[in-house]
Amino acid sequence: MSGIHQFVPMLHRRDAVGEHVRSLRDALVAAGVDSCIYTELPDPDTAGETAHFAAYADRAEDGDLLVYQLATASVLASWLAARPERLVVNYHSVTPPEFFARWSNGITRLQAACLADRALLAPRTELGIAVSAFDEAELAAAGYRRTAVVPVASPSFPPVAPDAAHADGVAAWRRRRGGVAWLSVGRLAPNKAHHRTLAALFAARATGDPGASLRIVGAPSEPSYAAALRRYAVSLGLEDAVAFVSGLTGPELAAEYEAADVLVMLSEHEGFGVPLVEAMAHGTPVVARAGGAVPEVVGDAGVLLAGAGPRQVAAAITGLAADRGRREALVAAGRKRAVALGIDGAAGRVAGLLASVWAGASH
Amino acid sequence: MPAASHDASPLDEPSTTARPVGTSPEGDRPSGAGGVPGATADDGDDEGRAAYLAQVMAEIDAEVARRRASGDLPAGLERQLDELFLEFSPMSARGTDRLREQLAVVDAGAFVDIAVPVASNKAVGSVAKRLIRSAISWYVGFIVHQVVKFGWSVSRLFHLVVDEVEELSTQVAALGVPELPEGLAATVSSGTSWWADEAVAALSGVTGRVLVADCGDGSLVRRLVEAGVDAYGIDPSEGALEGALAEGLDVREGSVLDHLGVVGAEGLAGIVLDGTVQWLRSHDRLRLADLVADRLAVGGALVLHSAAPEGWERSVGPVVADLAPGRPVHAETWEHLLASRHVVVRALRRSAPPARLERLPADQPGAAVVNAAVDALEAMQPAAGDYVVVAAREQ
Repeated sequence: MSGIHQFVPMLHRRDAVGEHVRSLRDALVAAGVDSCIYTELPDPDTAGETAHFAAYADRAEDGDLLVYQLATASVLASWLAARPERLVVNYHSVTPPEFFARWSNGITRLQAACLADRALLAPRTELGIAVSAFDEAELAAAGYRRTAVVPVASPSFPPVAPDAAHADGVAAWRRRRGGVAWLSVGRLAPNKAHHRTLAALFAARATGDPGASLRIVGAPSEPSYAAALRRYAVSLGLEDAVAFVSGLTGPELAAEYEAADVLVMLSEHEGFGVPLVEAMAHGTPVVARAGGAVPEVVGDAGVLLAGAGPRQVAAAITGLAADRGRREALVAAGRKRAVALGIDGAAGRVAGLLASVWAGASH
Repeated sequence: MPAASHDASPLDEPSTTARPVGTSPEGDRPSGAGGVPGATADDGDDEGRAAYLAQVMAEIDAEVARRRASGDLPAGLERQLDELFLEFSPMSARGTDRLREQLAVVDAGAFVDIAVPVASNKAVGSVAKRLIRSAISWYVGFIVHQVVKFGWSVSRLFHLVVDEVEELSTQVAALGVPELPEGLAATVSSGTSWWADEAVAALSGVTGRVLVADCGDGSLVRRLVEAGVDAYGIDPSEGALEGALAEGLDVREGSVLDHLGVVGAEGLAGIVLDGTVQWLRSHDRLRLADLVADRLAVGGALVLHSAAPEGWERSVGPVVADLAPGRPVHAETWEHLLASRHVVVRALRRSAPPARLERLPADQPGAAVVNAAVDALEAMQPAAGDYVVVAAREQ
């Protein structure tokens, strides 16, 4: 029996792409479609759910539709390009290599290779599914003729209840500082521009909010950038005002959102921005740089800044913290916006799109 | 390749463009119940909320301007913050130091150790590893020999390249511009000059940041700010800026080419060029024209002031004239350079020529002596003075 099968370099749990793939697989199976996940490399956490991509050749059926989850460079791209089955690319944004040039030659080359993969698959892709209009424009520019936009299916939406023990720890840490509680969520990579958030925190502490504190939640995906952030924080005298946190569970992350006065996101390239949705869903106001897909995700439910100048960011946050009415307005708008984005139905919508392509392939 | 949004705007704070998405830059969306600070978002009142957020953004802009003026954070601090952070990046070393540093990494990596470690937590493990190493050493050694040979060949090549680069750098440095003796590069006081009114008139009403290059004592920046323009200045002389910094004006040290190099495309609503731009080297002049045409927003205004080539040497003195990297060009040359980049000149004004001294008729007693003195004085007068060009970017 033919089916719709997904290919992803690795399948991780608690990872935006990984959870999207698993949600999509579940939605397809629930709809009665035969669906498997094939990977280039196994992750011990999910090895039971996946098979090596080479194994697909023996299982292939006429009428199969293959879905490539494109987020990083992989041999899967060239392998899929040579397969006869019809292909859909689910695009999760690729950070342009120039962001990494200063930090890691290896990752820079990897990102460049990923862009090459994206171009390689364009001519034979039936449908390119982007997670945002910003990403869709990138697909179109890369030569994808038919595209659609469906947000990423996030495992943290709808929001989960916060972990009580972690919440107590965060609250105690925040209390000792006393000022506005800033939160930044996102892997420690150059395009996320956490260093600009640190500079803004420095400005805020120097100009009226000496107790302002920042918790940066994210895995150090580029170690040299992560190390530079820590050294930068120390050089600015912020070592006691900044905490770097990673490896949180969903409930622990929920506790971070709920203990924060504001989520700050100053990314210079953002394909979607799951933390924006999570923050809005948890009632945490958003102050973000209007770059990449951020404006279309936040809409008018957050403060969007054209730049990331420290004074501008600091003024936006301290102004927000000082005005209860303004804060409540943003919280209410954010909760509505988070629901309106339709994250919880995203897997079903992608499954529906795939089913329509698959039906075309089958007949 | 996706377009990266890492363009740096001046100060990274294009204050007048900060706005919630969906709101027009002019903030002309109809206001509703939400258009009041403290109002909550009503169901379906999206336009009201947008208007409210526009007001929030205006308050942020006002707060930023207040902090800039108050001197809470000194001007230039933001650039220093950026530079401080980049010092921590792996590529922080500059010039050939950076090349030598990386070369050392290549050298270290070019050596492959054939002596595989044989230590083990288990006694038998160490023995087994030793046996394996011994058994395959002929094979591994053969491969390693070739790998190392290749590695050292590449390393050798890099050493030659770096040597060449250093040699070239030395030669290029020798072609650099000598610094003008202190005091000979006059401090610019453009706010009190004859063309300042022209500049203020051209830039009044623009929406967005306006750069005053070679702003000197900041007097033109001050005049523009007083006229409601979001102006800031740069000048290569730190000493020239002291007064302006003390006044709380938004000025910092820097050269116009370096600064425009990091400003984002269409990041400026207006640019004033003065001072050193008039004696740029020819290729720097072309680069400046390219940068201006790119950094100026469509519809943005350019004001360019320069000495006229005639008499320039006499106006700046022999040392500056001799050491200056280039000579001023005629206004028509700038007009040509800018027009080819879609920056079209709207107005051209020249300073009034100096008044001429009258000579005595030759038949007057002592006329020869007096006229000789007049000729000497005329020779000391600057000839044609300077000009100002006002232009606009059309596309």
